[in-house]
Amino acid sequence: MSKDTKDWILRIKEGAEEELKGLYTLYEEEFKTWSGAMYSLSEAEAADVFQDAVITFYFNVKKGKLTTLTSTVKTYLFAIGKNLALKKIRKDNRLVVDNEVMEFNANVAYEELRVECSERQQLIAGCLQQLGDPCYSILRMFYFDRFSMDSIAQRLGYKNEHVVKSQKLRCLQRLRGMLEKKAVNNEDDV
Amino acid sequence: MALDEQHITRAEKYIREEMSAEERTSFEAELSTNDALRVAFDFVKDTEKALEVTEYKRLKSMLKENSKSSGFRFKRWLGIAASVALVATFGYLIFGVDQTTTEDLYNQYYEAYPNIVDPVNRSSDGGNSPFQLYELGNLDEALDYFSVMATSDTTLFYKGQVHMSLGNYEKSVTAFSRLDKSSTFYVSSQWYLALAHLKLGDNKNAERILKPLSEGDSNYADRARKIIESL
Repeated sequence: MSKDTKDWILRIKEGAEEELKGLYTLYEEEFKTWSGAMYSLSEAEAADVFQDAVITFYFNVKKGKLTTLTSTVKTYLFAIGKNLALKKIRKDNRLVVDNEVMEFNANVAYEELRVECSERQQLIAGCLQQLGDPCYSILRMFYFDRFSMDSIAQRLGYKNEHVVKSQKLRCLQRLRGMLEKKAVNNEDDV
Repeated sequence: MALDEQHITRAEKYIREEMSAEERTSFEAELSTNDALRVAFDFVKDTEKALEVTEYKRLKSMLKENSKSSGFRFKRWLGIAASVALVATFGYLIFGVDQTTTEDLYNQYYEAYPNIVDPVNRSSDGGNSPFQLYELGNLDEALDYFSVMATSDTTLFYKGQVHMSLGNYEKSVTAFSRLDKSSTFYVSSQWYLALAHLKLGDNKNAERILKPLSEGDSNYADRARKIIESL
């Protein structure tokens, strides 16, 4: 594994979003040129696809699905981007001459992004927006970033992990209360 | 049905695949017979998914803003913003459209920051620390403690909070202004500092502080943008 790959994974695991922007900017132009030539993607389509490729990489690292890579980050991102681009042009029934570029067919395993969600999950997402800090940060750091309680305590300035744990439980109770209220209001509207 | 802490912990372990094969089988069997466990499991699973979708939207929008092709969008947005500003200005001049007062804005957005340092819990009777006194609303007593405690970014931040709750906005400005960028409370202190300026009618300073907040990626960004638009 190259040093470059290991560094990106570590930096993203640590939660540095600025790194994600940097990674996107680093290869955006190259991806646009490449996907434009290979799959006739417009600039806006290529940007959209590449954004999803970078986020897929980010999610896989966060969820612990990606801990090591046998290729460079660029190859990984372009391979995901290629799959997303192919999906897009197949969906649009567009004809494309696919001159396979083996370079981006490296051994790339990843979990696809699934952003569709149920009505209840959408309601919870709405409640999360209203929840505010520190609850949102605690829940995001625990469930999304997968940080330990100790790490969350240090990041948010809590006394110790036990305080975070009890605060997290309160936040979940509050979130559930908001959800129940919202669900009742929705029923009343019907 | 209240959420049970143990059920939540087990559900989290199951979802994160941190259980042994035996534990998983037993957990799955119990799900069909234990309603409280099912409730906790569904809630944790749905919350995790909801956070994932929320984070996806946030990151997507962040990368879109960062994209080199967003120049056109930005210019177009600027054009729209300029038109809206022009119409609003003429609307105000011609029809005397009422403006939201800073007092309204303050009341709309101010919410006391919770005690995250040392929350009151079942094992404490409350009032064991200035943070707990603050949480319980014993503000004068909390202030006495904060005033004699060693100064740290945490005590300064909560001292500012106590002053805000007591209506001492100038004193809260002094406390919040002393936090530096390395503090974990820095972003929050900037938010409250801006609100204190608003309350004092100092819109210029409020806007100066809100601007970087509105351009950042904290939870205050949206609210900061909305206040700036209303000023």
